Amino acid sequence: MSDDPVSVTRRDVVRTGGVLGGSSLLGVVGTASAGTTTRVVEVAAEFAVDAPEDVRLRTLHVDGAPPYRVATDDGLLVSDPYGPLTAADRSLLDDAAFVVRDAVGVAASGDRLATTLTARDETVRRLPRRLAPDYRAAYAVRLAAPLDVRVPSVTRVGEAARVTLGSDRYRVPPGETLTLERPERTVTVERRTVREADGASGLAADTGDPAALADVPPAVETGTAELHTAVTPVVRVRNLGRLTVEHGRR
Amino acid sequence: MADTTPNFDLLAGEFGRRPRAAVFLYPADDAVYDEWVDDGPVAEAVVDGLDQFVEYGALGGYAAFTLAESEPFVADDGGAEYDDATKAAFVDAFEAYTERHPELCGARGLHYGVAGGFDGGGGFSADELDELAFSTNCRMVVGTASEDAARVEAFTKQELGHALVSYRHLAETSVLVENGSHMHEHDTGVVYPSGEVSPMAVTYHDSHAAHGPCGNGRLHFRGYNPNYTDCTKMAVKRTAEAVFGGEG
Repeated sequence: MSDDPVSVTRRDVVRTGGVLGGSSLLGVVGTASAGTTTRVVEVAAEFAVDAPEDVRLRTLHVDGAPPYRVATDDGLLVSDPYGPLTAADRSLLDDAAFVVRDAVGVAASGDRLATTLTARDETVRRLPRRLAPDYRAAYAVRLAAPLDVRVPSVTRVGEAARVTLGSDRYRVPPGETLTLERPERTVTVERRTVREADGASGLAADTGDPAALADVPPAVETGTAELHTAVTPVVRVRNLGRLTVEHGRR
Repeated sequence: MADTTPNFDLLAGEFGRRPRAAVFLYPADDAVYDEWVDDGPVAEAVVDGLDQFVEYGALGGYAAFTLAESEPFVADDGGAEYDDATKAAFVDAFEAYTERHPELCGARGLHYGVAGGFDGGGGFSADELDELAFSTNCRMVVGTASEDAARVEAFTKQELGHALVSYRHLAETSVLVENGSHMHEHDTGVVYPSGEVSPMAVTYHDSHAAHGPCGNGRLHFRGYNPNYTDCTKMAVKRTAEAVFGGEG
């Protein structure tokens, strides 16, 4: 959490349109239309981390199904049958006139659906450095100490999304993406340290099959250290407009 | 913590020829061991994946091991939530477990946790030469919660691929990857004409499978293909050459 999250001001605002490359082939087996439509707004944040060239940060990646896949050209939103949405989430998706997806991938609440996303503080342990096209975190830097960040509130005004962050308000029409560069923060992140191993195999002599294991060399020794550095949060709000909801089946 | 040092059993492989890699499987609990590791889909996927790299010439040899007697490495709340953050929590839990057993994870290779509480995979990004199974004690986890053997096999191979490919070196030496993060390792996967997705493109069939120099533009998803693409195999070969100086 910044010292005074309400008073922070935007440094830059960039609006872009048509950023989604739509596809008619979502690749979800056995989709069945629920026959409902909803307006969808996605919210995510990524963090630019300052680090010297020779410093390697500890980063994590995770692979798995996204909550849903979107084809804007075809006006479709298809929930992934292996994704994180619960049955209740899917019902909400069917019934809601307006859905906001918080896909930062670091929030305690994950990327659950909500009819509105209200401004709140989130304590995070990992900072996404880059977002995948579907707003999943491509990889994240691990923090040495938790950080509180503020998530914007998003509400509907007609077909547009109204975004409130601190004292600033923005309007995001369908098909547009709002990018907000937030004030720099100072954080402590984990970094990797590396030291060449100098001994025999790291395996104990009496483990497993010694004959088979003997040739496995020791690893390059890595450790963890801390780096105090600056990060710049970038908040992205994407109004996907009105989409037809379908649910994928396994 | 167990009173005695857990032992690994040799699963498969001939480790003599270089370039070579070792993989150590750590089942999260007895149920995971019985269903997925002991003659199960995860173990079979690891061996088949490594065999593919050997057959292609990317690896000269390998050794795969299983940890039969294991204490659970997943925290009590493992699997309670089902999102990306929780997958990362599995990575954290597995890291903590391996650090309690330096006698095990001091060995060079992929130290691979197999858990039941989530669907997917994850790990410390193998996006540097010193983060690879070829040189360090690279740590990844795979989840079996889908109970879908073909999907679990696919994710098992995807994380294995991450542990053996360095995007950063590829950016310097080959046309496979121009630049970017480990996500470009997913670019080496495709959706085959049959609609089956190759291991590195699982869950990325509508994104990474469609672009990059290896993509073929096909997006339909009709299941899983157990075979890595030649593009993925070449990526492993180039990475191994970089680590071992072309000599293995």
